[in-house]
Amino acid sequence: MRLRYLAGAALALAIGCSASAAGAASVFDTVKQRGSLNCGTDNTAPGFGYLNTKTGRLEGLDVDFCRAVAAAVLGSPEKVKFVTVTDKSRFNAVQTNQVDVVFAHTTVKPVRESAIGIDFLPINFYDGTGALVKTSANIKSFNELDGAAICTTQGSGTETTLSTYVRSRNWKTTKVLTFENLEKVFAALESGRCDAMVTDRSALAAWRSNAPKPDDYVILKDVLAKSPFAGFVAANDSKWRSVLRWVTYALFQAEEFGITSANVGERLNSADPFEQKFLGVKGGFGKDFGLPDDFLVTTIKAVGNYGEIYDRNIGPKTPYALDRTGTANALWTNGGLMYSPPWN
Amino acid sequence: MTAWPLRWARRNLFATPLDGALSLLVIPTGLWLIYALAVWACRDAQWSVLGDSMRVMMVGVYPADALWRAWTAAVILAALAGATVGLVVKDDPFALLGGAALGILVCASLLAGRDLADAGWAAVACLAAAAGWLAMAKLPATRRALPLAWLLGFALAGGIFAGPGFDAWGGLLLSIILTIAVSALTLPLGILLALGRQSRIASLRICCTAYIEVFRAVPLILVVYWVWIVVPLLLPDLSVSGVVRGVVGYTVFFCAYVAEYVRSGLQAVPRGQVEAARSLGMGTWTLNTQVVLPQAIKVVIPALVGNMLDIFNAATLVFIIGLTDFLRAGQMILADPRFGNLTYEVYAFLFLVYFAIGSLITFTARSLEGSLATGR
Repeated sequence: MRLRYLAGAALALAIGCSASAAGAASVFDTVKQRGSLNCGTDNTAPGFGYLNTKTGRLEGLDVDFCRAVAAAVLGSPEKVKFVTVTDKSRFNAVQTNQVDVVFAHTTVKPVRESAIGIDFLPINFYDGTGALVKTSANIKSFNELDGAAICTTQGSGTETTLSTYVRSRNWKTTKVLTFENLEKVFAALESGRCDAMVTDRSALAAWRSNAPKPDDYVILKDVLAKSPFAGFVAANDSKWRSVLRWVTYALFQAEEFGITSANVGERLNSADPFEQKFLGVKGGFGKDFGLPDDFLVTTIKAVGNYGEIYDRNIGPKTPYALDRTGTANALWTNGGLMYSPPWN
Repeated sequence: MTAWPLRWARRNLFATPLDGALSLLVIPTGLWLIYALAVWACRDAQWSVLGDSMRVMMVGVYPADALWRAWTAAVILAALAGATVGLVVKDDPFALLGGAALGILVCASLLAGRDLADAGWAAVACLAAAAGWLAMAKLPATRRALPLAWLLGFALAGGIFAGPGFDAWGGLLLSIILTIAVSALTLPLGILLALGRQSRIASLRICCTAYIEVFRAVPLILVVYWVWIVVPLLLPDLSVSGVVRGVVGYTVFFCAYVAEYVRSGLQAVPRGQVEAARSLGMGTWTLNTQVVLPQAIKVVIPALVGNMLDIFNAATLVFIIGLTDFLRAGQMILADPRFGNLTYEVYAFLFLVYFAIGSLITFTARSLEGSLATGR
């Protein structure tokens, strides 16, 4: 026990020392000087960060955000070194400056900013607890599950969410069944023991895509509990954080303007003064960030706008087939929550 | 003659009613399990995933144009491993047959990946292992050079493999190199700690005892994670690779265990040996290096080899600090949507490889035990 106190004290001391030492320079300058971005990602998260064994490259929504940052700050999406982080190591990795930024399907929670000492970037994916049902059951929304058998994993946060939800609706005949792991939950859905499998929608998408016939299953549009993902940086570095915030916003804005990786070249000649300023043809935003005025042209050429990133990694044409329309992940102009403050 | 199997079965399987009942229960279940497994393995399993992902499982995301470095390192390590086996297995036909089968299996599985260069390299590695074995088994004069060969060969292999930087390391080769490096580093440290624990200087004795007891009382993962966090805090201007920090963490932890094994060896040296040496006027250094340690180490070699197996199995925990070891590489394969539904195939392969390497280590340890059981 005494050892634990001692260890805690030593760690606090060490973190204190490093924090005061890091206070001097922004990570922005370090990255510029190094000429390469150290970006923390997962490498076992389908759709978000995984290895394409055919090309030997990391792919995924989180990985594309790393590349976008590298393109914006350093001028090339290849000037990035991917550092694998796990659920356990991701916060320490950024606190100890082993990585400059982390994009690793991390849920935004107050305690993570207040106690752990990180600053979140804008939300880049709205995950949430959802339900997977059989297509043949013809269920369209969660309300139709009254009286059904709903299944999830034991002891998970989802179990609490689900039972609270069922109790609050006063569904008397609904059965909540729990299993040891998602594999067993899916098997129970397959065998008909369960009418719905409930967990994070991104995980449901992966299970659906791995089913022998994915079209036999459908993910309901309803979301029971919120789980928004965002990248994050070490706290108290407003220069670095604002560059990354606006790079993220720029990807939303580019989609709103309709600027894609394919047409960004032509759009330089656009008559719209807002677009011209956005792309740095006239004026531009780069200089005040310490970046070239055309930094967004480089970024969009490299990874495309948010919609392109989404569709490439988890959109309807991928095995995960997570449709954006009608969900929080749609652009605000389409009724979603993806919103960039105005660029003017 | 025909009655022999019946007699054997009666004596071994149906000696008592309880034995009979158990046999009737266990044998059909076992056969059914083997049958089900064989059906799955031969009919349902899609083994092509292994060919497509073999490279990732072996070396992680190592750059493709530097692959010759990984292979060269593998060839050197294979030769050293072959030589070490040759130390204990001289002409046991079963062992040789097993080794040959293993080599053919490795080459064949790489051939299945439709990559001739890889299969060629694998063949070279197998030949190197065979050459190492031949040298050791047939030319006893080379035996004395083995520790030196390990030291130089391992340094060379590590140096070649580290060409693109430590951060590129991954897969099975990372697990193996980590195991060897940690085993090699823990031995001298462990001996020093064990001697320190028996020292007549009180402060040294207390420090060594405290170190050993503290690190034997905490879990490995805590130590590894701690070293991983603390190193960049203490050396903020120096970027120390995760691999190096991992090796340091494992070494810090496992040298406490090695110290305890060595101490048991030290205690096994008869008291009279020490007294005789002292009465001959030997100093502490000569006494330890010439009389005590040679006898102590001989006793604990099997335990140290077992410790190596522990290190190898525990090496999977490096995924916590962001390294891609063999197991994590397998999980990485499964995150690729093309292979997401091939969990059983990938894990079966991981199991087989761990089993093969673990068996090789325990086999060597057991043979060593036999050949070292002399003079006592």
